[in-house]
Amino acid sequence: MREAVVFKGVSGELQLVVNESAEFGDVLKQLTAKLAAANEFFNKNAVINLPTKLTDDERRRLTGVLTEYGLEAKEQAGGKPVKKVKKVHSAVEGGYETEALVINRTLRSGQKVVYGGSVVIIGDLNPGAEVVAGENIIILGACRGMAHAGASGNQGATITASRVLATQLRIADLIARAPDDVDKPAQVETARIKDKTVVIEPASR
Amino acid sequence: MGEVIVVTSGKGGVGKTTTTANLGTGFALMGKKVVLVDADIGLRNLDVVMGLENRIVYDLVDVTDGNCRLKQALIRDKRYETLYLLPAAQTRDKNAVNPEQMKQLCTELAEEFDYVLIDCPAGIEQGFKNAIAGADRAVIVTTPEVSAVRDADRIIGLLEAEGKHNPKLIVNRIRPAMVRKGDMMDIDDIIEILAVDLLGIIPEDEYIVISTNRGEPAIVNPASSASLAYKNIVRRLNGENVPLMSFEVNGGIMSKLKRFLGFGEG
Repeated sequence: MREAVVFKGVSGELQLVVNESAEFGDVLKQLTAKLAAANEFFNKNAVINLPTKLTDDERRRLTGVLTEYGLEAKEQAGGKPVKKVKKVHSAVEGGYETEALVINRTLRSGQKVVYGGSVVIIGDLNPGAEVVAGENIIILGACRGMAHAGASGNQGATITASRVLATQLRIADLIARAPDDVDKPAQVETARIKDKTVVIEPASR
Repeated sequence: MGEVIVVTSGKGGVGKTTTTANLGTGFALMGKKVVLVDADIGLRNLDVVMGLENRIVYDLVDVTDGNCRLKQALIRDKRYETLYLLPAAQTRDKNAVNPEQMKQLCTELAEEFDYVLIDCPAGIEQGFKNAIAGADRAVIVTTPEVSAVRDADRIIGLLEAEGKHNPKLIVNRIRPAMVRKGDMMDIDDIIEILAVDLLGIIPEDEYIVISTNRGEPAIVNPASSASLAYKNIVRRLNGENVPLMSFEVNGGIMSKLKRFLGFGEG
C-alpha cells in the first residue's frame, strides 16, 4: 500500500505530501502516528509546507495535528499554479513564458508564500507578509511587505508592483532596503539587479 | 438565537476589555439581553472594569469542567438587569479550555441572550483560538499606532484562515488635534492597510481611566466624549445606519471620513 502521507525535503524546506487517493481520516491517522514515532526528530517550530489541494477543513485539521507536535504549518495562499501555456505567438517584443502562482487576495502580516516559479498577487502585500519566488514577483497592489524574487539564485528576476512601498526587497542574493525618506510612488515600478545593486525604476521604460 | 461577537486585537493594551464592557453596557441600555464572556483566563480584568469582582463565585473554567451549571456562573450586573458577565478563571491558564468547549459554551449562551460579547486575550496563541472559536462575527480594536495596526492585520489574516471573514474595525484612542497636525496616523492610512469596514472611532478620553478605576463603564456618563462614540457603535452593531461622529476640534478628519464612507459631498 502506498503511504497516505510522507514528508519530503524540497529545496531546504519540508513539504507534506498527501496521497490524494487516500481517505483523509487515514491521512490524519498516519500523520499522527508518524509524528509520534518521530519524537523530537523535527526541530521545534520546524515549518512544514502544506499541500495545496486541501479543503479548508482538511487544512485546519492537518495544521492542528502539526501544531500539537510543535511544528508550524505554513499557510498557503490558496492560489493555484497556472498551467504552462504551450507556445506563445506574440506580436510584441519582450513577452516571456513562465509558470506562475496567482494569489487572488491580499497577503496579511504573518502569511508567507513560497513558490518555485513566478508569483502574481492580485491585492496588496502587507507589512509582515512574505513572498518568496523562484522567478518574478508581480503585485497588482501595494508592496509593503518582504518580496524575494529569484530566490534560487536567478539574478535576472524582477519585482513589479503598482506601488513599491516595501521596507525590503530581495533579488537572488541581494538585499535592498528602502531609503528612510521614501516618497510615495505614483506609478508602477520594477525592481531589478543592475551592476550588482537592486534598482527601482518605472516599469515601462 | 443571539449573535456571538468576539472583540480582539492581537496587541495588548489597545482597549479590548474597555470596549467589551462599554459595548455590553450599551446593548443593555437598549434593553437587549447581553452576556460578556471574559476569555482572558489567568489574567481576568473584565470583572474589575464592570465593578463585579466581589461577586464571582464560579467562573468559565468551572462551567467547562462541569463543576457548576452555566447559570450558576453568570453574574448579573449591578446596574442593568439584562446584562450578565461570565468571568474568567484567575488561577488557571489558557490551556484549561479548548476551542470545542468554547464553541459549545457560545452556542448555549446564544440561545439565551441577544448578544454574546467575548473579550479576547492579547496574542495569537491558545487563548485567541479559544476566544474566536464560537464567534459569528469579529470586532477588531486598534489604536492609531503602527504596531497595533500591524498586529490587527495579522489577526485579520488568522480570522480569515478560520473562515471568519469581514471583521469590523474600531479605531480607539484617536486624538483629532494630533491627526490634524499630521502627528498621528489618520483613519485613511489605517483603512488603506487593513482594507476592512470601519465600525467606529473612539476619541481619547481621560474619563476612561476614571471609569475603569470606578468599575463603571464610561458609556453611562453623557459627559464622556467616548460615550457617544460607543453608543453609535452599539447602534451600528444592532443594524442601524449611524453616520460617523464629528470631532469639534477638527473639520478635516470628518470630511475625509465622509468621503471615505461615501456620505456627503466630500
